[in-house]
Amino acid sequence: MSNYYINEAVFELPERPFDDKTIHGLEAKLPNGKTLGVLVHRRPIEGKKSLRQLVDDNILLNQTRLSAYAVLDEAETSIGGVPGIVLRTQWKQSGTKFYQLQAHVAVDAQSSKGTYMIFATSGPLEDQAACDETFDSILKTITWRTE
Amino acid sequence: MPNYYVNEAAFALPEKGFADRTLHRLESPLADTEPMGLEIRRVALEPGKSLRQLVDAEVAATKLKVNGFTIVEDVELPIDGAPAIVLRARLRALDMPYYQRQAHVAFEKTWLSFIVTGPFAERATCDQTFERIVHSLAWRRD
Repeated sequence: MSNYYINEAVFELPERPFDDKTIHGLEAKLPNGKTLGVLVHRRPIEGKKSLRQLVDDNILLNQTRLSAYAVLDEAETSIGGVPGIVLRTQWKQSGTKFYQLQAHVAVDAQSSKGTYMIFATSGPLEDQAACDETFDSILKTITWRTE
Repeated sequence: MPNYYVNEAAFALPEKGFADRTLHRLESPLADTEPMGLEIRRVALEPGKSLRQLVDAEVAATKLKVNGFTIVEDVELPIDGAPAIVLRARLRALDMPYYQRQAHVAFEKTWLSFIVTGPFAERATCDQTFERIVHSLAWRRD
């Protein structure tokens, strides 16, 4: 049996394949009434794509579905001891500029069950500081399951 | 800072009063048929409303939305010490009979629903998965 963790609990799943399509979405109201969002997304790594290729594919996807999507800067960094790529991005929606920080990680990339994960925080560009604070907290404290 | 757990990791979030809108969805392939699904939803418990009232209202709403939705069993039992209502249901989807198990739990200030759904012919697999979840579930105590 494998353990599955949600924020409130842990439980066992039978030994059969499960494809985890969960998208985590957390929202906080900022003092100005705007919303700060945290998103965690995962999907199996297709073929033998590198993290760099996965990130580039994701950038292309966002460029086609979001208005004025731009990568402001990017850096390779360790995310809880796992190699990752961090991006600062922005786009426009209904006249508002949005800001998003993304951490891209390939978990268990060497195994057949490798998972591509994205941790993102986003909000209006004017709330960049709150996004940065939340994202930094995630990056500095993330610990991966080892069992 | 509160720690937030996802299946692969845990991290700290600043104290900004985050509301968790996550919808967990896992799918397990079944032979020659649609997959079995596991959904976990969470909603803040409404002050003044019991878990029974919330579940009854949801069942009534589901009966209006979902073809052939019928509750065949309704049991109240604690899940790792938290009050819970466990349902067994059937419904029709994609022109096929489906089978569903639901566990609704009041945990602290949250109404959590664990829902396993699959084709009726695969009800034994659904039961095995659901029972495993319910009997092994352990709440975070930190």
